[in-house]
Amino acid sequence: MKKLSVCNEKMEQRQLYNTSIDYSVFSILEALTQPAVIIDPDGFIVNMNGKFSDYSGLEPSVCSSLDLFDLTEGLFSHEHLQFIRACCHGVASTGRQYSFEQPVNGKTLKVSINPVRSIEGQVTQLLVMLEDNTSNKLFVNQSDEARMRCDLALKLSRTGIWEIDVQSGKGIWSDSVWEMYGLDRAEHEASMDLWLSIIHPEDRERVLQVTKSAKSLKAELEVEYRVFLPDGSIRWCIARGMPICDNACDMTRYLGVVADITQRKKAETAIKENELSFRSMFEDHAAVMLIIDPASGRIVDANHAAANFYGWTRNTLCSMSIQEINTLSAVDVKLAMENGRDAKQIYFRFRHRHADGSLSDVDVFSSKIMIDRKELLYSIIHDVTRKLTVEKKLKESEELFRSMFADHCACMLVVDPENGGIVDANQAAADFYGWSITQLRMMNITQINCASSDFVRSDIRQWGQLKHRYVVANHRRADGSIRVVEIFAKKLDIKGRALIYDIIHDVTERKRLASLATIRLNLLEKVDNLSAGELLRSTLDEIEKVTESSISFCFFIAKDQKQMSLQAVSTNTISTMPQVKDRLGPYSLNNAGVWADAVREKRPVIHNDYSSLASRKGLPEGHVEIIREMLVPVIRGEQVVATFAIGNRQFDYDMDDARWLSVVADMIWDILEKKAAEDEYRKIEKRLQHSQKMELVGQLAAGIAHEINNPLNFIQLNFATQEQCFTDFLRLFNGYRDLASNEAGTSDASVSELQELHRLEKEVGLEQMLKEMGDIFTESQRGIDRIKKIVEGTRSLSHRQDSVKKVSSDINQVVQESLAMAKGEYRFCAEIETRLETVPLVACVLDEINQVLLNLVVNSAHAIQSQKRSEKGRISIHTWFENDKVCCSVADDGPGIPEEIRSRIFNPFFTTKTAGKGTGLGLSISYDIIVNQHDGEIFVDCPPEGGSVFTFSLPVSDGRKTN
Amino acid sequence: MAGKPTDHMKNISDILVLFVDDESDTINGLKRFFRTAPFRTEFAGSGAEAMQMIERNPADILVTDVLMPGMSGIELAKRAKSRQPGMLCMLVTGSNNMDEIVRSSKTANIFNYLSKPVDPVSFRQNIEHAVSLCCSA
Repeated sequence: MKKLSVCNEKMEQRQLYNTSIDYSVFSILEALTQPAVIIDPDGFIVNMNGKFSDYSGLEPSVCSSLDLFDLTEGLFSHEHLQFIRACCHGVASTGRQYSFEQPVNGKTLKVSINPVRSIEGQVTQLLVMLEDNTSNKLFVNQSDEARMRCDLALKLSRTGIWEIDVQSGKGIWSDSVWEMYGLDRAEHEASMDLWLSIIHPEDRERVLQVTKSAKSLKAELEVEYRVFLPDGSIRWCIARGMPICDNACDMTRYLGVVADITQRKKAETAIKENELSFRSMFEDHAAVMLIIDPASGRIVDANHAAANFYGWTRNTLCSMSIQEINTLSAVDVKLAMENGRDAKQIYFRFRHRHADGSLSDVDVFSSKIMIDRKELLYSIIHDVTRKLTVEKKLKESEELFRSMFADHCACMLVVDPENGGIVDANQAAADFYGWSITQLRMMNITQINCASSDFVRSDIRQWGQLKHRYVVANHRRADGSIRVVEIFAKKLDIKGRALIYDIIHDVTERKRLASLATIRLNLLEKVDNLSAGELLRSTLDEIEKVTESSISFCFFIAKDQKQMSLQAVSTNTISTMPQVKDRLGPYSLNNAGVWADAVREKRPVIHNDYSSLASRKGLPEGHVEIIREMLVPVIRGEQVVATFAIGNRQFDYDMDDARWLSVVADMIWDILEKKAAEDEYRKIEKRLQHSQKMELVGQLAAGIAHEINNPLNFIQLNFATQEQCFTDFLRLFNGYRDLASNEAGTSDASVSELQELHRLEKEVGLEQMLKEMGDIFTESQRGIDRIKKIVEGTRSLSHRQDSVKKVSSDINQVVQESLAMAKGEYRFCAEIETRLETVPLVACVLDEINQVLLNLVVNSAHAIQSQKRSEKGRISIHTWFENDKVCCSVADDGPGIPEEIRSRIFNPFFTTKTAGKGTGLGLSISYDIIVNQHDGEIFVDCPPEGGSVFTFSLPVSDGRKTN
Repeated sequence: MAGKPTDHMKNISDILVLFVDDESDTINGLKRFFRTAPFRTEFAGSGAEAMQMIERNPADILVTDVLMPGMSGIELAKRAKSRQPGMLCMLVTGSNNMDEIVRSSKTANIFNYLSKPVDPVSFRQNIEHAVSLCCSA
């Protein structure tokens, strides 16, 4: 029996799955071993099996759609049938299987009523199975038993039985009915009125109508209604009744059951509310939702949002399958659906097709739901096309930025300002520093920055406060080399963490190029004041500083390329190797070791590992140990003229260093060559200046001689006169002395002597003589003064030619001396007019300025002479002070200088004088002296009234030139 | 010797010697030097002044400096000679290039050249010699 029950349940289930397929139901029914019939809840036969047909004697083809209970009145008593009908109502309303035993014709029949559900879950049909259970049950006191059972059943199924007389309205209610209505049968009489009075007022009218209608039609009655219980609560009830007719076929009464369906109604309301809310959640939700049958892919339902999204109506969508929407192959879609069904995967990314053919990327969240015991996929579809586009762009942008960091050729570091740790580095940084990115990420910036780590740490912490910063620092690389770098730092907030983003730019080369300019400027500034050796040393010092070397040498190579001589060493080198100055050479190149490599190979040579060098010849005693060295040749034409060597840097030399040093070496060589040429030129110029001076001296010599001879001439005459005077005076003096000593003698003799003396006085012209004596002294003294002045003048011309010492001098004094010397040139042709104002002392080379003045005065005199006029001309010399310059002009009233040659007068060898009168160097030398040697100015002016004015000026406040 | 023979001898006191120099100190020195000389002396400070004096009072002997402003001694000698051909002209020059002086004064028929500075003794002798020539002429 148990086995059968199990089988029945299974069968029942199977039957439920296939409600629509009648033949399968039928075959299932047929397969049952006991009589079975399917009825609807009102008792109409839907189907039956052969055993039921046999048992009841009903023909299946005839009985379909007929009331089972009408047909089986012969089998069961009327009361039994009413009970079974009530039971069927109970099963239909509760949905619970119900079985009971019924004595029929001395046998015990087991009746089981099973609910059959529609796809919506409603109980639409009932399966009634009969089984002979006699052997299991022995009925004693059949009628009592039956009533007891009946009561129990009615009570359990919360069903009551009622009967009402149509005419009187009076009725009979079973106990359960009284109980159901909460009324005491002792207080009330069962009646139609009582019934209506307890019905909820809202339902009352309807119940009345249904009742009346059923009564008039003599039809069965079924009505659901609410009753007010005495305790105030409401109970849902269903009353079913059937008209009972008498023999005259007049309906006399209604017999029926009433069941408490409060629980069901409550559940129904809850379900309805739930369903409505869930329905609304599905249909009205803005999210696109589909319900799909995973087995077939058919779209079971779609919401409004889905219709809007896909562009098909909901009806159309519900006639489609998901394969028409998903762009994946049918197989893939099926697989995805299976995964979804099995909850292996709940999230999918698909590309869905719209009605207009366009596509969208969608995220699908799918989960299995059970509807009517059927597995369906409930899918929420989210359009991510835009999100994907944004994501793609974001990803591209991120990749771009990542690439900008990682692949950029600029060195970049990301540093934590808190501890200086290197958070990230790019490949360019790895290439530059010589550590791998991984190594760099484990390092600290203090390992790279050459400054003290305390400084770097505090500095970098300050960087964290700033938004961005630019700084120049020295950075150490893996090979120990130190590079000058510019750092552009920017504070970044990355995920709430302040980091410093550094772009590092190697400016070592740029710094070196800048240092080239500095070295060049220094050289050019010093070139006039320092010797070649001093220049070289100063340059080597600079080279050492820039290249971080500690020794440096410069060798000159002989023209035959066979010998080299040490020309200069740096200050540092000489302090570490004082003996080097005793080893200037020349050395034979054949004996020289690696130092000569650059000469032999005519290219820069780098030995970063000197000690392992095979060609080294060993160092002389006292020589500093060479760790590494670099040599560059200076090549002019085919020959190496010099080599520059640096050595002992802490890290390796490279070709960058060599190129730089070559440029410096070339530069200094050019400057030295130019200096040599200029020195040579200067020597020539000095010689020329000197020879012009000599020419001037020669020219002036005659005049000077004349100027000395003239006073000398009259001084000599005066001496001769004086001598004569003295002789005469002595004669007179002796005569008078004799006379005085003979005064004691005769007066006659003394008279005649006296007369003789008087005669002698007249003879020599004593009175005249005495007068002349004073003149002689005065005039002679004047002559001597003139000679003295000229001699003083000539002294300044006698200076050595290389004497270029500038001394503070009074220009007025120079003017006087020059005039004295040139007197012979102008005295017959010109008057001299001087206006010498008080001027400050000016630093100058005396004989050079003297030479200039002589040239100007002589030129003026010659210009005046060239006019061969009877009157004397005028030469005016004026000195004054203005604008921190001592100025001197030499003006004449000669013919002036024609406009067309005025621009050429300072050119060398330009002259208007006849041959022999001058070489044409005077003014060009004067120009050189004033402009080049004294930083002064000289120019000529020819005023409209005639003549020419030469003016020169010398700066006073020139500290550099003042000794 | 170069002088023309005359009919009568001249007294030494008649002989007039004209000294020309542009420097007053020299003139003063000469005046004193020849103050007691037996011949007559006159002094001029320039060639032009000398010519005026010659015009007024013909001199027998001209002793002139060469380098002078305006008219040089050579020019003066030439002019004086053309005015008075018998005049003896003596040039006193400070130049050490005597050849040039001699060359440039060729046409002036110069009697003697004396160099500066003069030796007072030989100077006086040279003048006296010229004076004696004038006397005997």
